[in-house]
Amino acid sequence: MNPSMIKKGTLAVFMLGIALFPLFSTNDYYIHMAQMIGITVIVTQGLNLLSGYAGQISLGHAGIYAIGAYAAAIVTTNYELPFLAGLAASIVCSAIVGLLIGVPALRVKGHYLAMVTIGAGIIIEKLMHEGGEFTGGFAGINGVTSPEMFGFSLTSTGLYYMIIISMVLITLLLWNLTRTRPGRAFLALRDSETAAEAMGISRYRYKLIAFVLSSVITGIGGNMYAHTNNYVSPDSFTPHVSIFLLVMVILGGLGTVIGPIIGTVLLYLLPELLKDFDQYHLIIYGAILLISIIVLPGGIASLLPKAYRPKEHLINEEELMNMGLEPYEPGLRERTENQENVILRVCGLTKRFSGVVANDGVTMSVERGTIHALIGPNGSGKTTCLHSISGLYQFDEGDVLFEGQSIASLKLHEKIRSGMARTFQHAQIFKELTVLENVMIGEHSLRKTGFVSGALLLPHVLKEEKESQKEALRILEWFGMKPYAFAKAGDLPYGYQKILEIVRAMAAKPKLLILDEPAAGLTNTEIEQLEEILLKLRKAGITILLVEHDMRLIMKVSDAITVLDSGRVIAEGTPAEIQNNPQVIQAYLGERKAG
Amino acid sequence: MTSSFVLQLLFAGLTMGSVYALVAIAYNIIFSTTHIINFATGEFVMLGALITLSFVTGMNFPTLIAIPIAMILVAIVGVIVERIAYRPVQGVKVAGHSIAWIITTLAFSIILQNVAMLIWGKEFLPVPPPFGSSTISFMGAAIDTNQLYIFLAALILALLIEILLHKTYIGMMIKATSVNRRAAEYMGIRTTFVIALSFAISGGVSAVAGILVSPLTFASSTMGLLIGLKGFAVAIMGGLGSGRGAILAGLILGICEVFAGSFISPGYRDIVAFVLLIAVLALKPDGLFGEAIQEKA
Repeated sequence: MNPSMIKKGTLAVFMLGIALFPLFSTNDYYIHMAQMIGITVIVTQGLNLLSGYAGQISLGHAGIYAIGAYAAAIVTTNYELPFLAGLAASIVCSAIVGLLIGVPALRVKGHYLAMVTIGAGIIIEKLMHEGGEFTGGFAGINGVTSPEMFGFSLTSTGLYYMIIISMVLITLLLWNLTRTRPGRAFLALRDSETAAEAMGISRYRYKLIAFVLSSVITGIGGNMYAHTNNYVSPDSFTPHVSIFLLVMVILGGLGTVIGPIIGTVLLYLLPELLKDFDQYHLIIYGAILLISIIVLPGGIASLLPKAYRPKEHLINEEELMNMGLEPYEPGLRERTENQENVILRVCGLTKRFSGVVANDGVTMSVERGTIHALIGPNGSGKTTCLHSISGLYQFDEGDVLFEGQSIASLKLHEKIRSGMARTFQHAQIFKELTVLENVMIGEHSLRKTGFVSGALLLPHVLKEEKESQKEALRILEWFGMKPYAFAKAGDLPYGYQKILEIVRAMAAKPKLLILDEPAAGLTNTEIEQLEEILLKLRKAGITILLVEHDMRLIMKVSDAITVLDSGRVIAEGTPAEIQNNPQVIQAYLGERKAG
Repeated sequence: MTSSFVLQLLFAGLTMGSVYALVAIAYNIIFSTTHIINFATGEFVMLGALITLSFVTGMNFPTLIAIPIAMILVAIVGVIVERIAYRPVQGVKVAGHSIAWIITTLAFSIILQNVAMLIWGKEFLPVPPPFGSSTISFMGAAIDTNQLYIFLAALILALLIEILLHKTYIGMMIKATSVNRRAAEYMGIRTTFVIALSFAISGGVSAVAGILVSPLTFASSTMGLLIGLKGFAVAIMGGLGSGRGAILAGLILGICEVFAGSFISPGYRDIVAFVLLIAVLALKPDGLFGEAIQEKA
């Protein structure tokens, strides 16, 4: 039996099992437990989207869970409005709270982000305590009715089915989302924010969407919690609950679609198994967590061989490899009216770092269709200049014109749409993704799939995905990297990672390609390959702005060279002119001392 | 509202704040060598309080002997946490993140809390003031000497730790390990030892924080969570790794809390820390004293 049949069989048995469960179990306790597991899977799937895919670890999700639950309880019990009004309230309130947490969370990373989410969780819990009659204080709100829709009242079994169907739907939608363009943008941000932005993915937009989407899903879980338990109280949403939610996701497998399901089921059943140990059970629980993360950091999902896991992408490797590909020609984004000879003009660019002047009135122009090198001794401000041009730094004075238009106000992620793409000094690739996916992210700014159509996996989305895969493979073939298409990018040798960055940038069809030390860390053979690539790209009409230390390479490929020293332009000209320029020689070798 | 009442509140705030500063310093010491947050710090505080209480009221040890014993015991727990929850998961990645330590230290905190629950139960136990208590009058305000002692003890310990970190050889080893662990190793510093030491020092400092705070708040096996999180909030507000920042942010938080508790509602007391925290981070993402570094790509 092949893995895909086993996978389908297991899925069928699982679905049949949860569909028929109420027929076999008449015990209310078990039905209630199954309901709670279903609700918790919804919540952990929401958390997984934020923490596993978008890379924003949240230790405050119980707070958002609480918002969904209280919104439902307040609207349906205090105001006696129908179930659907409560559901709408849960969704709207959790979205707003998600946005409120997302905004400060945008400014911080790592430990600081963990603290913001913990803080938000505690603030929400305490507000529930202090809400007086509105939230019922310590006692919470009792007597939340079972959901009623279109004249039906859903009690135990009916409610179970509602929860299970929602759980399956939400899991499916998220699974689709993470396998299409918007989901890849999340993964790109998770692996390298800078590179993702350079590929046209707005960090602010996508992170906020991740917070809001994750909160809405969690809020829906909260809504069902209120109607299932018929009461809400602050005790159900303590910081401990936030921790347990995250633990479920990590134990199951962070950033995998089945992780939250495995983790939630296990951590719900574990206390049942440990019932005999009563007072020791939390200690054993802690010990199991401790050991499992040490032994199995990828979570239980990582125990399954890859072929037996749900696919984390829509790529059919075999079909793609055997597909006849039309040859690729490096193309430009649609041509503009502007055909001026100078494509990039930097005028008097000055950038200061708290007193240190890194770039002092740098002026240079790059001509269309040439390879223009920017050289200078270490610390002369070359990379700073590239960062200012590409929007990573805000410069203090001067202007940058691209095809005659000022691009000074454009942010890093907006530059790619005007037709410039860049690479980084230390290869910034998306290490956890495959080479092919890396290149597909390069196409981000050229593709259209949005969140709704991606989650629904509409036919045109599927078509666009296939096109995108094919295009990525064609580009990889042109660069001689097709054999590595399905390798994990982080496993490539460093030289190939640097080439991959160029491939990825080319996938955006830029007019101007900015390369920051592409030859650094490459072997001699690799540098020869790089040289060939650069010449081929120029032949195809791509303009290249190059910062590089390898003089042999520069002298061979450049049409024009600008030399920086201490942040100032000290020379400009053809390779031959630069080689004989006394000022340049002095900058590189220092003053000639007599005697 | 009399000025003496305000003064009294101010002093109560400074006292709580000095304890928060100590807890924040306990986080900072481990952060500086490992760049992780030890989520079991709150439980160290709890253990310090309960162990001392048992020695003093259960076995009639003099307080001044019970305190160092508790410090040493909690320091040992710190080393155990380093061995089991930090060392095996160093650099282990979960979905591209180095976050295994979040789970291991949280798991340890669950274990420690529940072991403590088995030994001491769940009740809030009253703790006698370690240095006795009487009331003195200061500018018309009645001030409990117990508070004064706690404040002074916490502040002195905080300063001692600052001296330890900045003026001694141990401090230099910790700083070297913090800045570049591999380079420190090349220079002959046994960084695994330095890291274990930082967990031990952090355990000892947390224990003192617990001993000092318990006469004010009572001691219980569940006290660790909130004080631990507030200490973390203070460490973040002060800028992770900054001792001066921790002391200042701790005192600010202590004062804000007491005033919010008495002017708004006691229930809002615990919210203050986290509202303040989010406000600080929204305005200055690296904390009050953290250095803003423009990221190099």
